[in-house]
Amino acid sequence: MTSRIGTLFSRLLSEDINKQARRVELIALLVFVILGLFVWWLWQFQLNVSLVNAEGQPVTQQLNIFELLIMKR
Amino acid sequence: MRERLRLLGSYFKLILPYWDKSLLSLLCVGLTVLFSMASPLITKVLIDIVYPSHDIYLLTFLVILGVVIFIFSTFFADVSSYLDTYIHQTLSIDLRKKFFTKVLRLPLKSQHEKQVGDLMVRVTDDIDMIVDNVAELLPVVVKTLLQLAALLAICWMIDWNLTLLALGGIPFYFIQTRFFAKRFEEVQERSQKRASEVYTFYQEKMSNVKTIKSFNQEIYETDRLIDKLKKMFTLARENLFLQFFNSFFDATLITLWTSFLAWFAGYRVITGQITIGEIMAILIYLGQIHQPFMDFGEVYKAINRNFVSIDRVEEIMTDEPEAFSDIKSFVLFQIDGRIKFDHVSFMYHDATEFILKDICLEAGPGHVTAICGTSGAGKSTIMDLLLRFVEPTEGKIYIDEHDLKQVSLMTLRAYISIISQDVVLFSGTIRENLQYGRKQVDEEKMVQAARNAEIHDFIASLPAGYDTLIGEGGLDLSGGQKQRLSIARALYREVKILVMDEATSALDSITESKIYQNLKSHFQNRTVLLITHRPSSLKNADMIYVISDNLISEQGIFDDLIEKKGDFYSFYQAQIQESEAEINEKLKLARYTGIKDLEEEEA
Repeated sequence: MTSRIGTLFSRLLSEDINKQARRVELIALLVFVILGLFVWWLWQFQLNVSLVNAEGQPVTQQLNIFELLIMKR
Repeated sequence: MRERLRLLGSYFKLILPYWDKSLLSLLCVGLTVLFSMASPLITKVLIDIVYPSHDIYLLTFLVILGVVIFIFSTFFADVSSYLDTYIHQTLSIDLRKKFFTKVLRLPLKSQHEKQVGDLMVRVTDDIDMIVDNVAELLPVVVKTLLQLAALLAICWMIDWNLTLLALGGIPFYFIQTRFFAKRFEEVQERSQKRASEVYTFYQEKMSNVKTIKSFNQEIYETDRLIDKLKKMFTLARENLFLQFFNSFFDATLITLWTSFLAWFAGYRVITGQITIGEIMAILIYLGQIHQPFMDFGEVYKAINRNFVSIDRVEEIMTDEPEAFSDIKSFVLFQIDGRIKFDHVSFMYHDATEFILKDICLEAGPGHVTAICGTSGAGKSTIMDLLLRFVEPTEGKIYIDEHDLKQVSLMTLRAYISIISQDVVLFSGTIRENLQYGRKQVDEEKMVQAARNAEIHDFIASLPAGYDTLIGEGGLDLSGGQKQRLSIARALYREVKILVMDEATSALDSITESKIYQNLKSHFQNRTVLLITHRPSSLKNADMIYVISDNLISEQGIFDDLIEKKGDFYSFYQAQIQESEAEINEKLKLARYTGIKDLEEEEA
């Protein structure tokens, strides 16, 4: 395990910095896409939340996570 | 203000080549900021909704969401940090390369005006500061602005009264930041000047240890250094005190402000205007507001300090360089090596007297042309003029039929080799030193050049031969050995024009005559300029120009000039007497040492 980490480190360090940076950029862009899909999924995903209305009655509401987080009392 | 904007423009010019990576880094920073905003909101939902409703499903969902946000946040923070490091390193190399190239391209005149220590501080400290700041400036500014905007927007959404109160503290913070930034800039300017002085001192003294020792001045020089260091550290202390007061005011102002906000938020909960979950979120956000303000203040002060460094680096970068490879200049593809000085006069731009007056001389291939005269007569200036280290004040110099002013410097210097009395060898192997300035390696020719310079046998006797290290940490060579190596280096370049400026001054006359004997074949088809005051060297010349009182007083071949009994004759006699006196001194010393050795042996 240690030797594998060592090999990985020496490979990373011996690589041309410009090539490496280009690869990091590509990976970052890929993760951006994954994040976008994840956010889209979160937007679609409805949660059943039990709330108390102004009269003190318990009600169940369907909200996505963004609505839930920024919801005011 | 205009100056500030110009320097800020220089800042952005530096980052421009990395705009794509910079943009991606900023995007990552932006996402990291947005992710950091989620955690207090999750806390609010947990307190206000999840715990009261005992909703295990929502609790699990929020915890998983928190973990996913953490993973994304860490990834984007790392990518941003990697890209910033990339920009930092690449910019650092790029800027140093540009600076170094610029220093090498500066005319000799402006090189002499600058102190090496000062240039060292500019290329190390100043560039470090600029690079550090440029690499982190945009990310910090964007992060801070985004963080502030997001924090204030969320706080506004939860409770606008509280947010309005929070905004009220900003002007006070900026007033105190501006106050300290100005003072930091002043101290920085003085510190860089002092650092330059100390570096120059180190450089000068460490390269002249022998002289200091011979004058017994070790203690005096150490005291001088301590004095300079004390002055430098006084400024460092001033900087420290400024930092102390600044951070004290920073912390006090922000603590007072956030405490008052916390009190007001608590008051709003007690009076039932906001929930406990909301106040928890607000308190976490208020705690976070502290950081962007601190970061922003630091960057603002750092930018002000770095304006000093940018200015110092730009001062060199905007200096007029030599027209090294001007497009308009004439490229020499092949030359015969004919040199002509046509009524050339020269004086330094700030001087009142000419160093050379109305010089007319000619030199051609296959001939050895000697220029002799007393010390300070301006002999070496002829070499400087030929290499265009300086330009003639009056008159013209021609190489073949081309006016030297029109010739590309790069090609001109490729045809000329110099052997100077000030031998400079670089740290490295003997082979590397011999191959300096020659692109194609030819082992046989290199060895032949070393043979001609009478240094091959010595090199061959070394265990590592031509791969022996010389210079710092390597073999210590004598003055004569260094001079012979420099002769070999110049011969190995195989150029059309060879300038020998007191090239054999450190050699004994036997070695000198051997070298001249070896060089006879090398001199064929080459123009050789021999700048010397040694009588033994002058006999090898086909034409001698005598410089006296800054002008050519006599010219001709050796025998004619002697017969003429003019300036050259007096000069020759004086040199002969000087040489004889030197030999007598050496003989006396040898006899004395011999007697001492005998006495010691007998004892």
